[in-house]
Amino acid sequence: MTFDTISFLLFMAVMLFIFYLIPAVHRKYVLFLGSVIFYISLDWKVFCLALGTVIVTFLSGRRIERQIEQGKSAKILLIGVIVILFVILGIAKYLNFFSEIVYIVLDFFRVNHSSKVFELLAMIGISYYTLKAVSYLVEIYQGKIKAEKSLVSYGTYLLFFPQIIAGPIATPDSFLPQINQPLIYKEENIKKAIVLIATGYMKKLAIANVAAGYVNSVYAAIESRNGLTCLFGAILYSMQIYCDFSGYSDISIGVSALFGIEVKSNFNCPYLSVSIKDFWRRWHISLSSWLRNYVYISCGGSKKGGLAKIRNTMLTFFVSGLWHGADFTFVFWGIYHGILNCFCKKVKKQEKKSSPKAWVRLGKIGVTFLCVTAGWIFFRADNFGQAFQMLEKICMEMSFSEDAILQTILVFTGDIMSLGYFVSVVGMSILLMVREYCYTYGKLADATEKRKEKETIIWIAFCVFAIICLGNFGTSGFIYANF
Amino acid sequence: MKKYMKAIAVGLCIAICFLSVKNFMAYKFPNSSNGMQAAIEQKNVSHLFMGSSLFRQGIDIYTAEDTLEGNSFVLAYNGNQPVQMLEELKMLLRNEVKIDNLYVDLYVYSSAIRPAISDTKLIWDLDFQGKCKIYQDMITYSEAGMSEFVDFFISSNNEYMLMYPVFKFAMKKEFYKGGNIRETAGSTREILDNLSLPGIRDGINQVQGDALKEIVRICEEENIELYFVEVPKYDTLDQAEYYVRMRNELEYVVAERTIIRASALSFDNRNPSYYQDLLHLSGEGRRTYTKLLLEAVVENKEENDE
Repeated sequence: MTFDTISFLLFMAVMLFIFYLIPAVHRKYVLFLGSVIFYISLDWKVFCLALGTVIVTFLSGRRIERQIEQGKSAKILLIGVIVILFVILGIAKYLNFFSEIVYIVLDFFRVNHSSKVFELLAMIGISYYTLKAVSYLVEIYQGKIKAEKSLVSYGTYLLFFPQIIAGPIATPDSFLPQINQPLIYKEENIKKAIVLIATGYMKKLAIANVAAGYVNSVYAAIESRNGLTCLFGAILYSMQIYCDFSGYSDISIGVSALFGIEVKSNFNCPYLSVSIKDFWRRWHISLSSWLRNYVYISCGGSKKGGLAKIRNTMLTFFVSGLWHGADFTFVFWGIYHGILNCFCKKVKKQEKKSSPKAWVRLGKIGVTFLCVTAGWIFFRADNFGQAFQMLEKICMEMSFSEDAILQTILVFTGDIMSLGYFVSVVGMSILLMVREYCYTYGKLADATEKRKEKETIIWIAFCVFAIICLGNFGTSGFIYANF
Repeated sequence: MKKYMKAIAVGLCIAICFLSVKNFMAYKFPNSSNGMQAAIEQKNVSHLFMGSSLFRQGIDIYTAEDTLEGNSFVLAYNGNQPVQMLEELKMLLRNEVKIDNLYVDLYVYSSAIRPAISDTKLIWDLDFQGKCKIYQDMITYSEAGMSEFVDFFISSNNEYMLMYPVFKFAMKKEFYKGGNIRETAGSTREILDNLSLPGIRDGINQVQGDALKEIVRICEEENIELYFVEVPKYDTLDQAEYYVRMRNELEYVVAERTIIRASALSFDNRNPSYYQDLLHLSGEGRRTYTKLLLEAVVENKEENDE
């Protein structure tokens, strides 16, 4: 039951009906029960594990707080619980990855072993609720928040159904105070929800799902593609992953708003970034913030300067890569961004001096986008061979001949009908980027609220039309649900 | 809030109008270069080649015009199945198109599957009656459900409708009287020999077989000269045991009709420059094959006249 299914829409309709039927003070119980039912429908075995995590971390949080109040050290308890959480996460996500490393070492020493001893377990949501639980415990330990007294409130925070599949990773200091207040109907929330949900579904169905067909077709037969087709495949994957994940986040935040819960934005027009550092302030903000707070700063951040700063940056991006998946290509992607970030920090001062002219900004946006797209090639590839083959095609076999252009546009069968498919996905992507540009740097950035509302109304109508008429309903699931 | 709800309603209304126009009126949009509309525009078609992408890539319209007397036209859709060809023929006759000779693509793969749409352009081109019949076949014989309904009546061809003028221009560059005029290069022996063969199918589908028989019946009724034509496949596929078995099975269905087998022509199906892949001919292959095919047709006609 993911967001792009009819069953989810029905589930949400029933939830909303019951939610607004009962008094505001009891509405959090509806959210908790709804989240439990939602999780059980995804996988009841993983739900049992999640429920165990809820109880253990709830009790641990209270214990940590009590020990601190009594003047005792709670460090061992905190570390112990965090280690347990990460061990479970590691087993669920990385067993295959580490076993692969063991196999490589065994092969190197020519030691006999069976080929597949371990099997990867698919545990939806574990990455997200684990990170939430860790931030909850650390915040209590640091005295930033009080331990939650209601198991229902805490359970709702950890298992909140709009966030369980692919985040955003809400922080306890923003979520828990809201759930403990009466969840009342606010027109502003519903308005916000309509815009976000319409935009989210449009991004997912009319761009990400459509681009997926093109990208899959390119990656399935890289050897028979020309450089231009591979470049378009890579660019469209950038659009696919952005629209898939930010579309999910928009829907998630929109659904949360329908239930009176405000969640911070997870994306802020990342492809309009003027540098890699800027990109990471705009992409998957909730995870980036989590990594900054609990990995980068915990390791010392930039306090010691020089090599320590570089080490901490690289470590943070290494963890980021590893978090995304049990594969060397993800680790490489993380390290690649780490290197770019270290380099970016050095040119920061030059950046500040640069002219704010639109063409200079567009140039920077273009260069950043290409750097990010190069990284996505590794992220998308099944293995290094495939990624390097893509890069080789783009760098060595680039052609702008009529034949190459036709092959790029008519990527499927050479049939003229695929022209519509190509123009549709490219056109929609450009439209989305132009809108984002107008809101970030253009006329709409400083426009009056009235003007913005007018534009928003047209946008909603357009999104509804695009979802119905240009949406691809065939593909199910979200990319980030796998992480 | 009201404004937001109105925006959703407006978006829905525009979408419903758009889909209604597409489903009920699209087949009336003029198109003079390919598809049903172009065929109807011809009014009299002396030689109609009706088939799949094998015909689109395999029949050279210029050679046909040079060799045959009267007007020629290629009506081709990707994976065009007999049940669909039957509806295409019926629609042409409903629109009073006079056909003298009909050449039907004897394509094993499209005859060995349950009714399904493999080219959404066909949904665009058929009138509402034809669309409903095809969809009904899919429900009856292929257990089509909600997803197929959405694909058929909602998702398909929307980009085509939005960009209709662009397509019309592109189609004119690509097709002449339904025939593909784009020059496509041949492949190499190394590539062709290493291409994996298309999957094995169980056998000729009963419904498709019945549709072929119905085409035969209609042609007899309408006094249309009917030929079944096999486009030559590349040697590795042509020799595959299961392919030969299915081809024999298909030929058995239309055994009493004129079949022009690829093997009866002196076409070299080992020549890689004639092929794009195992099934589709290149520009050079298209011209060579069409010339040989039409010589055989003319010869056959002369024999019959004698």
